[in-house]
Amino acid sequence: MSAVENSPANLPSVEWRELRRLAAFMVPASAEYGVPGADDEAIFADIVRSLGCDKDDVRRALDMLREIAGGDFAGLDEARPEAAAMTLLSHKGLVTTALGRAVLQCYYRDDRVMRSLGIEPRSPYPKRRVLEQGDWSLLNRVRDRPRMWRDVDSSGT
Amino acid sequence: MSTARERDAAPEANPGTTRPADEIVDVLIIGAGASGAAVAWSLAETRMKILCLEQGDWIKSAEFPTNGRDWEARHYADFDISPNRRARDTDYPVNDDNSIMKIANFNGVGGGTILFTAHYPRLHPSDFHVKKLDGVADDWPIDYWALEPYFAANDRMTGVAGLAGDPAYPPHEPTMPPVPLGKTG
Repeated sequence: MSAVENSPANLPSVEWRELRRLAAFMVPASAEYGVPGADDEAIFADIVRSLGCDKDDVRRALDMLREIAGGDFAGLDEARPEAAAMTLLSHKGLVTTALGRAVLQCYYRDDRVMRSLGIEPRSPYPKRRVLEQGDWSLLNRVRDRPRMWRDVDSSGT
Repeated sequence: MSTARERDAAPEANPGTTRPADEIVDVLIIGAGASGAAVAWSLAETRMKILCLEQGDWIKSAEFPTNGRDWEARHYADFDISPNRRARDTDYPVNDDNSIMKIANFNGVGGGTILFTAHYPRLHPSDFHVKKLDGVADDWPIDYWALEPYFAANDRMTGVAGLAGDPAYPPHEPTMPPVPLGKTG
């Protein structure tokens, strides 16, 4: 059993397999950019561990997915799972929003993914990030504009 | 200021924060958010006994989400703007189902300033006279210039940063220099 599979308490095993397969369709691995998919072992472990208050909505999304797929999504063969996944993801609502948040918040904090985007994989603080001071003269044209606020005399006119 | 949690804590854990239950005070302030804390500060130099109650915790800057790799995710969890989603033990549920205005707050010392985006727009002089100028709502009984010293005091106390010369507002000097205008603007 892998490290990922060691966290069954967060999801029943059927849902765990369905979510992992769905995550692979949501963010596939890319050889071109050298990044893993959202079903990568470490990323998926983070997703399952971090479901938090989105857990109920994610489980509802998996219920919808099973309904769309007409059965066990994880057991579907070849082309059918992708079509079912895309149908689910085309739904707009709280459930799919929570699903997207649960997957993407973990995917985009993975070291490999952050590096591929040119972002140093660390938190903003406490070491902070120093920004180069930009060119404030860009705003001179705005600052030189005539006053835009309306003056009001003491009588309010 | 005293918090609900501190009242239950051992006195030695929070020296100086526990007070006798029957102590008589001159001023009682409910809530240590932006308004309550400002009132407490403004009265601090008087000889009055001031008690400011806050049901939430003291939030240490070291506990802010940006100190961790999961900082974005925590904006949708224990640092969400909605108490209904945040669901800390210092929060209470707010039913805003029938309102187009959704609740956004934080229960703790600092109140909503713990989460807000540090955007400090002032009112305009014309905002105080919308009835006379635009025929809508009502005029205020005071004008911008009556409040201007307090806008300025607030800027000083909170360290508002900015660039002088915004033609959309009456002239004023931000207390702090502007944060860097980086590549993303």
